[in-house]
Amino acid sequence: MVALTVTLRRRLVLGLGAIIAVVAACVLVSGANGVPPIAARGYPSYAPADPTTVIAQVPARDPREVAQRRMLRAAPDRADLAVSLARAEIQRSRALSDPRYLGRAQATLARWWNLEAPPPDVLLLRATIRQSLHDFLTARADLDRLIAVRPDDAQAHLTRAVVSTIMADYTTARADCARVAALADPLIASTCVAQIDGITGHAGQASQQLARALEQSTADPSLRGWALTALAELSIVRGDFAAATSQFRQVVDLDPEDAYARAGLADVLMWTKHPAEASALLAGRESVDNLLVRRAIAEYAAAGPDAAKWTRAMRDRIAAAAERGDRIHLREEARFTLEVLGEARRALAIALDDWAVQKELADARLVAAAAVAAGDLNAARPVRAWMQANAVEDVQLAKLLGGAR
Amino acid sequence: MKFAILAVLLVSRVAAAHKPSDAHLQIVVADDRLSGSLAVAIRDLDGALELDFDGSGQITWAEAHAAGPRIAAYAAERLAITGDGSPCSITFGAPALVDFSDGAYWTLPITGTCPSPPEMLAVTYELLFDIDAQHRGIVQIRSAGTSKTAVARDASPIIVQLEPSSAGTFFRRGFGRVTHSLEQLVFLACLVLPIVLRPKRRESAREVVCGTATLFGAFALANATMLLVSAAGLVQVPAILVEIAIALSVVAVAVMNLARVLEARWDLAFELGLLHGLGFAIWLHDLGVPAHRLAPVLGFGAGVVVAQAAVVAVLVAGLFVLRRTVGYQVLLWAGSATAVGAGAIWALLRCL
Repeated sequence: MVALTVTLRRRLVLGLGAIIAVVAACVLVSGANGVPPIAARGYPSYAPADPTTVIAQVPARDPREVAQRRMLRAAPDRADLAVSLARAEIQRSRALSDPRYLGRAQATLARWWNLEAPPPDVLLLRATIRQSLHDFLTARADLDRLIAVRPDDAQAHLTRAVVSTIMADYTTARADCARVAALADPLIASTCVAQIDGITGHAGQASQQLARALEQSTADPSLRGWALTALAELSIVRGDFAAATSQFRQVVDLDPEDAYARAGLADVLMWTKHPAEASALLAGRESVDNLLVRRAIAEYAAAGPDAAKWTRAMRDRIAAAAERGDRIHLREEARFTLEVLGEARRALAIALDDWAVQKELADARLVAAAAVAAGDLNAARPVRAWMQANAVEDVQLAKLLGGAR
Repeated sequence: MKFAILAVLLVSRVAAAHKPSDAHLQIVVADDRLSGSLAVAIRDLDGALELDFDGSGQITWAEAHAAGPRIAAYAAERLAITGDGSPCSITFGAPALVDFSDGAYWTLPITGTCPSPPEMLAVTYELLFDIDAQHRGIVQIRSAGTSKTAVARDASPIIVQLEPSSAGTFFRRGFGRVTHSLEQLVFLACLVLPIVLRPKRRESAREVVCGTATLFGAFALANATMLLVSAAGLVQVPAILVEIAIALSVVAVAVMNLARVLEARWDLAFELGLLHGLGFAIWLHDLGVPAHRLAPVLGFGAGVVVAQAAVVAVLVAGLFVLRRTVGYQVLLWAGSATAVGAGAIWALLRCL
């Protein structure tokens, strides 16, 4: 037997092992050890040595809001207070591109949130919040109800025009823009219509009209920024990337915090083969998803040093959203999957899911690009049908799908 | 034109969003003991508790630390865990910060005790919902046989049926650990590949069986010993080092196959067995092993050894049949070479 040839050294090792095992068993039985707490998801925890270290930035407290909150606590039925506070939160969510403040606005309106027919002011804010959370159907229903009771509410008409445009209901959107024209600043009305014309094959004419309206307008900078952004998007539709670049640049110079215009500018830079410039434009602003996804794509396209880092960050963000059960960033996810991960089939599936929710030009282009990359032009049928039904003319879509017909 | 400003701000664009407000709660159940952690974004805590004392817009570590007791009280008030219907006690340990992708989170270690080992755990999470309707609590509950992640959207309890942490459960986990780990399978294969070669070419089944028994016996004994020792907390080695070393052990054995080092194989098996035992202990710890019971550890160890024995028996039987064919030589060389590559890649991936 081989076992009988065991040397003394081996016997010792085995003996020692057995003794140690018995000791270990005794310790286990006596329960001398405890289970150390696990670290949070593998991220290292730390405590700053310097007490003055700033660990978070929050919006500075507005004394007027603090006073209003106190009054609302004393009289929780006062919708006027809740509406004013919720409006401030929504504006904050826009200014900081942080959806957390939308949730705070919703919580402020909690008392009225689930009512069938809340006060009109609450209806408007509820629709705005729902629209921002990509819940377009219920937002639309709220706006229909609001307009039924307050037909002269310009804000309601404008919001419904935007929601209807996203849902590809251009008839309603046009009617709402016409109402806005009668009720509000002419530049708002021009921008409202131009966005629809840009989709439905009248981009050239819409561009001229909007440019003229901008020239004549004395509106404040934020409104001008909005109109200029719409103008830049019309330039993209026409394929005039040089004009789009300069128009987006004006908006970004006007308001460096405008994440939407910055994202648009980055897109145009990437389409005109300046990915390094696009990446530099987005550096330091990656906390906003729309900018993070473009930063990852631009770094990847430019073969920049941070490509891997931002790819990982974007993956993390998608995983976090999935964990939460959200699917409101389908557009970003599809783009990332197509342009960085290079998984055309999966990108196409995500882009089609996105198309089912929102139908803007960017969504259509994404479906088309993914379908072409996946070699499955048939999958772009819904987009083609939409193009035919609405006489859509877009230089990029035409290049991808060979025109509407 | 106050109206116009509002119009644009409210309507213009569909959200260009940050990561929304999430908190992370992890609970590990081991018998009647609870452990885990709660991580909440500093920005969210500021909304609920006004951490930013001077209203400056900047929260310093000193400000947050001063609010520590208030935060713990807030969490204690809004977090409840029951086991089979009766409340479990929870206490929060010393706070620390953890940086998630969207900023710093206040992280509290949790320990607790339930009246008896729960079969059904109910977690009621109601932090922050009153100030942020889009807040979500991402709750992960783990025990020996269970790992479940659920999202708390409101104050309704999250209920998880726990698999009992009996020796049987742990036996299955140990068995699965071996059969579902490519690394383990490759290692065992490399270990037994030359068994039909030594000392000369083994002819009789008896010799092969005895050789295998010695080799595997040494490995399994070392494995089980180290598992016990490490589970008892007598030895502590950083997990990452062990994982890298295990990947390298695959390389080592495979290289010895290629170099035809056929002597003293079971000494080597014993030493590597110690290493692998350490690896199993780390995995068992991550599973949430009851701290003060021998049975689960023995169950797990038995599962591991039985699975290994089964794998080895199948492999050796196959090798015995093939031992005189060209197929065996191909298997020995190509298999070992592949294992060198695979082990090196595993080690490299873990270093990153």
